[in-house]
Amino acid sequence: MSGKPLRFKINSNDITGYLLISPWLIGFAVFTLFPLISSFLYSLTEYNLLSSPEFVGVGNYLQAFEDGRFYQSFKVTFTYALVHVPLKLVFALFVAMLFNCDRRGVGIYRSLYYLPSIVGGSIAVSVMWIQMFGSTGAFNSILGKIGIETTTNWIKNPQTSLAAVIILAVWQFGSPMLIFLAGLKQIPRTYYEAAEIDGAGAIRRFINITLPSLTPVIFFNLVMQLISAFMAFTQAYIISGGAGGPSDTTLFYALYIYLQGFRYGRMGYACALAWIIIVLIAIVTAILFKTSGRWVFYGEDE
Amino acid sequence: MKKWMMVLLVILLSLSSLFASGSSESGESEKTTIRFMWWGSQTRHDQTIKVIELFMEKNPDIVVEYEYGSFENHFDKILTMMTAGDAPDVFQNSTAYILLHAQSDQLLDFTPYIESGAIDLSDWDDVFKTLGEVEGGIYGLTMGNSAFGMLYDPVLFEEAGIPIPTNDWTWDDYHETLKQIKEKTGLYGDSCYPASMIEGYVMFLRQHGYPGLFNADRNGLAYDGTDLWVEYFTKQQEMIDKGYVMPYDQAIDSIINFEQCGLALGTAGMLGCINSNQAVAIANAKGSAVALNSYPHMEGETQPGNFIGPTMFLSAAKTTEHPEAVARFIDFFLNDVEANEIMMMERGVPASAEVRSALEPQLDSVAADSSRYVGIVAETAVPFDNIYPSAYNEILDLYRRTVEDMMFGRVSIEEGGRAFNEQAAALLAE
Repeated sequence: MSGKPLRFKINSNDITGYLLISPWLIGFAVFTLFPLISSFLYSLTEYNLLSSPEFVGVGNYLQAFEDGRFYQSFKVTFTYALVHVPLKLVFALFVAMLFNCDRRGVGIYRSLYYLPSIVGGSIAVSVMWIQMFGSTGAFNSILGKIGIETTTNWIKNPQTSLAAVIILAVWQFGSPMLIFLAGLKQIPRTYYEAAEIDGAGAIRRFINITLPSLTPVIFFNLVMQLISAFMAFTQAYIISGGAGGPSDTTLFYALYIYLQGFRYGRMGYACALAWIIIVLIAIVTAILFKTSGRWVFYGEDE
Repeated sequence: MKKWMMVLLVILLSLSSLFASGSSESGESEKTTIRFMWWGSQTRHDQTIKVIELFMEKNPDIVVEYEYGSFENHFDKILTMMTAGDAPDVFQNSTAYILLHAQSDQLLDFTPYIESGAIDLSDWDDVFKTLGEVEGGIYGLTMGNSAFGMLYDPVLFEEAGIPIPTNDWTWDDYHETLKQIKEKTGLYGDSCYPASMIEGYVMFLRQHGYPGLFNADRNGLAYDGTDLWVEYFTKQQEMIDKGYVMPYDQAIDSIINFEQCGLALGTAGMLGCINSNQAVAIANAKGSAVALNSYPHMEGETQPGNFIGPTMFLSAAKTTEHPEAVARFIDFFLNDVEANEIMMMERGVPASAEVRSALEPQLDSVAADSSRYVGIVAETAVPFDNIYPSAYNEILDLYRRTVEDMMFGRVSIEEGGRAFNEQAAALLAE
């Protein structure tokens, strides 16, 4: 300070405010902004974590386009996202509608059905999945009961391994279900009453009232689930034994980034891969937002 | 006024937390503290913690802090810590990483401590002393040694009247045994054919006179062509097709987690290609004894191809501030009889002759069998050259992926062999 009076008078309220949110601001700077910038810088280098990074320009980005496993991981991740997200949302909505009533004990059921989502990302469930779909697992003994004797290991067979992971993900429908439930509670009862008086059946009411009123919630769930699908890691890591097998059929994009960065010592390339997916997620989300005007109805617009 | 007090309070709070974390470190430090990190199973964790406690009891001036976990994450953590300049003073290392660590100048050279006797290798067999040698320095000391072999269920063999295999058996004998197990017991002969493991392929190459997978400079493959590959995997396919060996989707479980293999679960009579120190874990998982037998020999082979290798190394970080304490700890871990009586060769057969002779009378039958087996292999073993190139992890994944592609019929065996050779050579040349 050169003794000149300050031109801006900083309100002491502002200072207090900034100080109070400073834990978040510092956290954002240190744990989000800094890694974001440095990962971009590393993506322009060849870096194995131990020796100092060497600048290679856009070499890593070019390398990705010649890398067969890069395309494979893309294919796996997009298949996963496109199949499991709609399935999961339909399932979550279905269960939410079952729970949207005032029967006794419905609270207990809601909690029970939410449980898989709490433990779902965890290692224990993935390990359980390996057992269930293993050659001597529960799935095969159920098949045996209905007359189909098999010892196929569904998790380790390239034709079914991804499907097993998708089923695991769909099963964790708890959090979109809760959001749907909250959305359902928001729909005014009067709509339904009016429709009933006009003689609309259950299906008609669902299509003409429930779905349109719920579109903002569906949109929110869709975006959130798609983003998390693109970043899926834990289930694939555990189920495939950390390598994306068999035959790279569960090589999720995030898993591939991890393998390149930590197992193969190509942190620079891994950072470049991470940036490619960030850009793609941004594009997909932008498209969703652009098109949302056509099918998402916010009450106040009407 | 009140607002300014609030501001002051916030500043004070954040400052005090800073000081609090700063002051806790400047406690009285008469004692030297070193950090040790390892991976393993629960059995190993319990044993290792007991050894550390014994060490601190005998060396009251040293405190050993420890951290442990599973193999999958161990090296991620080590790499990250090294990058941050905060590597543990002592850690369990492996043949797949020691070259990378040493060449990146991250490891402490043990040579001066071995010369001064701080780490006493005087009763170590010579071959074991230099297992962790990289470019003239000793960067790792073997924690135990093992050899590859095959496991079988002796009770099953006896009850079904199948001839017990001998250590000089050939590939034909092995295939015949698989057939007999299938025919006499209905079980699969083997949980997985040895070609499923890269180590099995390497031994097959050695039996044909090659030094191993890599050339001496570790920048290319040691062999040309796909003849051996095709021969080996065609046999594997034939054995699976005949039902003598488990179908590949089920065999994968045996490869990823040995405790889930067909032999342990009672659905197969053998387990092809396994590290001898893992016999104990598999016997525990199975709940009954298993016996070790040699990897099959080739008729007219130039060398048996088997070798004695370290199951894991002890390495120390170059950044350690207390190399003397580190040396004392390593010496204790590797050479102290009492410490090794806690561990009972869980990490393989110790390099110290004194420790070996003290432990041998106390071993249970499977562990004794495993230790004896290492002795048998040692007589004809080829020199150990498995300080793997830094591309090894990727080659390992490539191998596994290629075998899966072939066994699930996505590529032909010939194509798989060509793809493996081409990609592995490119990785080595990188």
